[in-house]
Parts: sequence; structure tokens; C-alpha cells
Amino acid sequence: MSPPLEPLELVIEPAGGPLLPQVHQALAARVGPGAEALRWAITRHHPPATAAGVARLTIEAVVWRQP
Amino acid sequence: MGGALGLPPLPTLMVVPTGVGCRVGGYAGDALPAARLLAAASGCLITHPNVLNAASLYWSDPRIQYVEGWALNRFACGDLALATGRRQRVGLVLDAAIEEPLRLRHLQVAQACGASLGLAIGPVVSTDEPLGVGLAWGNSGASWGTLGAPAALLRAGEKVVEGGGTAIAVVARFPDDPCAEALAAYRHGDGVDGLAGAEAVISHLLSRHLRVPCAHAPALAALPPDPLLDPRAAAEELGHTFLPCVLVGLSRAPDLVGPEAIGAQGGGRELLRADQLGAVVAPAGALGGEAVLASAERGVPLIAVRGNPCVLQVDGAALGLKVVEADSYAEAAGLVLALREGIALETAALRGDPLA
Repeated sequence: MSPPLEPLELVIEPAGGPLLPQVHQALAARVGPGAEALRWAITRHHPPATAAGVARLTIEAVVWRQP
Repeated sequence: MGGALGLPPLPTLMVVPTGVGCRVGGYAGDALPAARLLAAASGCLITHPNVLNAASLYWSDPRIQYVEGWALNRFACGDLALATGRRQRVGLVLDAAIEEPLRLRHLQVAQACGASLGLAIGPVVSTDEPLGVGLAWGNSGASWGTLGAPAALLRAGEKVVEGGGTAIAVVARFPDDPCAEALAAYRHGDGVDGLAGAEAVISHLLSRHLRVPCAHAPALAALPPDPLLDPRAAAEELGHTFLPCVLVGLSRAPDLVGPEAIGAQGGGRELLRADQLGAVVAPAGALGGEAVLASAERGVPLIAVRGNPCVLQVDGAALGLKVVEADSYAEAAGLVLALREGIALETAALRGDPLA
């Protein structure tokens, strides 16, 4: 059984358009039902390695699972 | 409402993320001077306890709204509004892990705030088991933390509300010396506040659960005097607790108003909503939080302060956000005042380049 509070780190490759809905969607998909990201922030930016590449963003979060 | 400048206020959000080592605001309420200046420039500043809490020191300004971080995010996303102008009755939650001499110190702070400042305090509730605070750091260098018994925190908070508290100050026993090197660096003005991330988790949990104003103060044993103590960290070493600023801040914190009441103007109280925000001010490398993203993506001017570096380097370019850069909080305050006055920020003369 997962602890009620635990850290989470995930990397997203954002598409164009507003970023916040994409972050919300990525977090919800990762934490699953019955849990939520209590606290999160984008903590790192990874520029694309090539001109045709895609930038990535690391999100660090604390996940809360309702007991 | 015109304010001292004869201009309507420009509600402004100031964010200094907790636990990421900000040069300004990463210590003990050391962003308070910047907050005071932004409050004067804007006439209405909404910010969070990390900016305003300086342990035994505080600054009470009716232009500043004290809003816990989870509630601040929900406000910025438009899920909550802030009802200003209320005097809160501040209940106190004390971690059962706090040993008796330290517990007494905290109780006496609460009594002193009642007797000397006239604040409404109570009830006082102890958790029914130790909260079990644990500290940790993420790969970015940001601090975070956990609780062994989060349900005990929520039960104690519920008792405070049932007992008539309209805001909650929570005091958890923190480990005294989890990392001597990190603590020494912090005290010397060169490190991340290792407690801050766990503090945010505690207050976020309570705010989310009860939707009342909340803030946290850690209970810690006193440290030996250090002649090399950085002035930015010194406020935490003046007394026996970090509680006075929390009680004062919460005593006039705005109520959190849910979606059902947003749009209403009830009881003659002013309601602040996210769509009224006129500016957001944040460190230039720490723009990846929810409140900043939500505001910026709604088109609120985002002022990024380059003079407040931290361990993160998530700037406007990284996030695809349009920002107005400021070298310092003094420059940021000037930009806020320009927005309030209706002067376009791209005006060349504002940037010292009148011939551009």
C-alpha cells in the first residue's frame, strides 16, 4: 500500500498552447484515481538536443492519497 | 477606493516559492521589505506566508492579503475568491510530538498575542498522535517533506473548526538537526531552507481539507548563537518559537470563498477574484508553479525578477511565457505602479532608453 504522501517526478514534452492544462493532465494521469498532486512545480527545463528535437520539462510533486 | 496615490488598487500577486533557495525570500521573512514596497505600489498585494513570516517579526499592512500556498494556487486558477476585511479567530493545532517545555512556549505565544495584541485565539487542539514530520530534497535541490500521520493533522484541524476557529495555525515538531551541513549553509545565507518544503505540505493539506486560512510554524529546539548568522535568517533566532508572525498573519487573513459564492458581493465585504489580478511578480527562474502559470496564461502581466535567483532555472523562455523582466524588486514595484497608472510597460523612457 502506498504511503499517503509521497514524492513524484515526471517529465513531459509539452505541445504548443497553454502549459497548465497539459501539466494538470499529465499529473492526473500519473497519480491515478483517488490521489492528487498536493504540491507541484516545474523544476527543470531540458532544451532539445537538436534543432528538430522537443524540449522537456521535469515536474516534481508531492502526491496525496486519501487514506 | 482610491488609496494613498489616488489611483484604484491594482491587485498584484507576489510569489516567492518555498524551499528553492531564493536569494530574497528564501530565509526568514526576508522578502517582507519587497512585499511592503509592492503593496505600496499596487495598493493590494496577495501573497503567501513564506513571504511574510519572520518568526517573532511581522508587518501588518491592510493592503497585504495573507493567503496560504494551496489556497493561493486555487485563487489564481479561479477556483476560490478571497473575502477580505474579516478578523479571524485563530485556532491552534499542536503536534503531540512537541515536548512539554517547548509546548508551553507555544501556548504562551498564543496567550501573549491575545493579551498584548488583542487577537482572538483558540481553541487549542493537540493531535491525537505525533505527526511524524520527515524532511527530504528533490533532484532539483528543492526541499519537500512528508508526514507519518497526516490523518491526525486533519482530525485536529476539524476539531479547531468545530470549536469556533475560523483560521488555523499549526505547529509541528520538526527534526532538530537532519543535515548539519545544510543547516549551517542556510544560517550563513547560502542554502535552501530544508524545513520549508515540509511546512508547505502541512499547510496545503489543512487548507485543502478545511478551506479556511492556514499557516504553519515549526517547533524546534533553540540553536546555539552563531556569530556568522546571515541577517536574512536571523529573525528565526530571536525567540523560542516561530509562531507570532503566523498568528498575526492569520488574524486578518481573507476568507476562502468557494465557487458557489464567487461573483457575489456578500455582507459588504470586498471579494477578490483571479480575474481582477493586474500583475504577477515572481523570481525569474521560478516561474513553473501553478499560480504563476495560471495567471500568465490568462494574460496577466508577469514581472520576472532577475535579481532573485534560486536553485531552479525555469524562466519565461523555458515555459514559453511572455515576461517583463525586472532586475530588482524596486524595479518590479515601479513596473507595477506603471501598470496601475496606465503607462504602457513598453514605453522606452521607462527603460532608460528614451531614444529607442
